[in-house]
Amino acid sequence: MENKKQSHTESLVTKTFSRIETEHISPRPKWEFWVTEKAFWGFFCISVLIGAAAIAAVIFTFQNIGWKFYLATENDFSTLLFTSLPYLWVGAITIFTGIAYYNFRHTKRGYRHSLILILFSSITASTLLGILFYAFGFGDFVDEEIGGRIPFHRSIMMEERSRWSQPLRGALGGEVLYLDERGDFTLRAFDGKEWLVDSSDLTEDDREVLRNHSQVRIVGVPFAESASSTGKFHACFIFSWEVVGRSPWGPPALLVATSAARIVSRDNERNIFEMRSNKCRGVRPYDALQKVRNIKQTTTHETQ
Amino acid sequence: MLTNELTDAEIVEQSLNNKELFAVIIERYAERLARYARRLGVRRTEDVEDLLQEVFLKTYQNLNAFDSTFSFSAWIYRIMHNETISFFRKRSIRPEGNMEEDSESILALISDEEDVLEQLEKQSDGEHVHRALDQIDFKYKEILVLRFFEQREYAEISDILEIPIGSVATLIHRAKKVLRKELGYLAK
Repeated sequence: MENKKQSHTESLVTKTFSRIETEHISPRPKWEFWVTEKAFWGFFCISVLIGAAAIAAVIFTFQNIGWKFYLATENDFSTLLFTSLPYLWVGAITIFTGIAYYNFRHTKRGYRHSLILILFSSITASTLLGILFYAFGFGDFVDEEIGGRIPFHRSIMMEERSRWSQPLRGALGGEVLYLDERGDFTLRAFDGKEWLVDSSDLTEDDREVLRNHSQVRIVGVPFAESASSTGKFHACFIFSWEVVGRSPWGPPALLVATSAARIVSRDNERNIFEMRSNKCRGVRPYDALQKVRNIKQTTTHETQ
Repeated sequence: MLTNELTDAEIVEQSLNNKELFAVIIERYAERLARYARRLGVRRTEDVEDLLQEVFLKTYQNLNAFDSTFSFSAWIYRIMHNETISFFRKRSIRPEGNMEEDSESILALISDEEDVLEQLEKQSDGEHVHRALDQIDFKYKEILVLRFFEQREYAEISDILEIPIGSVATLIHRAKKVLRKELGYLAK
């Protein structure tokens, strides 16, 4: 029995060595394994970094959704949510977390760790890096510059600009180009069209916004279309157009032609608690926006 | 130094410069690996021999991939395991056990759970266990084979099957339950 086993083994040795000779088999060089191992680690790290970039874009998106103004721009809150959620980036996070898992699992000792631990570590690393990326303005860059090149994806800023390019609905956004002595101003909307904005209904708070911000959101009423290319708009509320987490590499802010210091307060300026004119009564979210503004004013007065 | 005194890792290292030494690896593992393949369900002797050749060729080709911080035994078992799985896939056959010589191992090693022991004691031999092992899912069978027939530690099983150690414990626990259920079913 022992002899039989011995002869089997010897035969196996002979056959194996014969194949090594005839098929010219030799040990694969060490560097091949080194490269493979490093490639898995490399792809793992790249996946975590891409996941981090996607998380930065998600944070940027949520920070810049116009939650407060949904009454002015959308029919209801769910429409705002549905049209704003960062599907592309959530998809990217899911896919790249999967790729990170696959690559980590194929490193030399990757199998020793559980699925949950690898996923948790990968997502945690992406989240921490994502927060860091966001803090440096990379979320904006990813969403606008990279996301903007992907078909079917609209960056949150594109979405917001589009929401504030609905003058017939009473929502207009853009950049203040020129302020006259009366406080009326010229606005270049996001679609490039210029608007003469009547400021007679604005309160000191609205003017404060104008003084401090070159880009604004206006809730108001459009005048009937005139033949000229410049539209006319009656402003009821002005809110600042702020981009939270702005990328330093993003497109430069448009130059403001008029200094904020040139804004002149009218002698007959409306008291902050005074009701606005009847023109503004037609603005759909008037009551809601008035309420938001009054709460803010009351708080300001109390602190004074 | 005699080759018998060399560790597996030392032989691997020296085989890279002197391929004749690789014969020692074959001599050390041929029988164990053949038994392992049979336990996993490769029945025909020719198939076992073909598998062994493939395994040793792959081992030789990948000698540089061996990391001496791992157990060589677990590493070569992993290659055998993977080759056996591919064999079953290629042939699209269901693995069948061949464990006639293992009756005592079955009784001694699986019976650490009282109810399993009770059931086994009802049998005059391990025949029911063989049949039950052939019936259960392969993932349960392979882990029971490694733990109770190959007498591998959890860490080695983790290295052979490339799964976390925590999963080894869970899988063994589950496999025993499945086997117990199968034994009960067969006893009826």
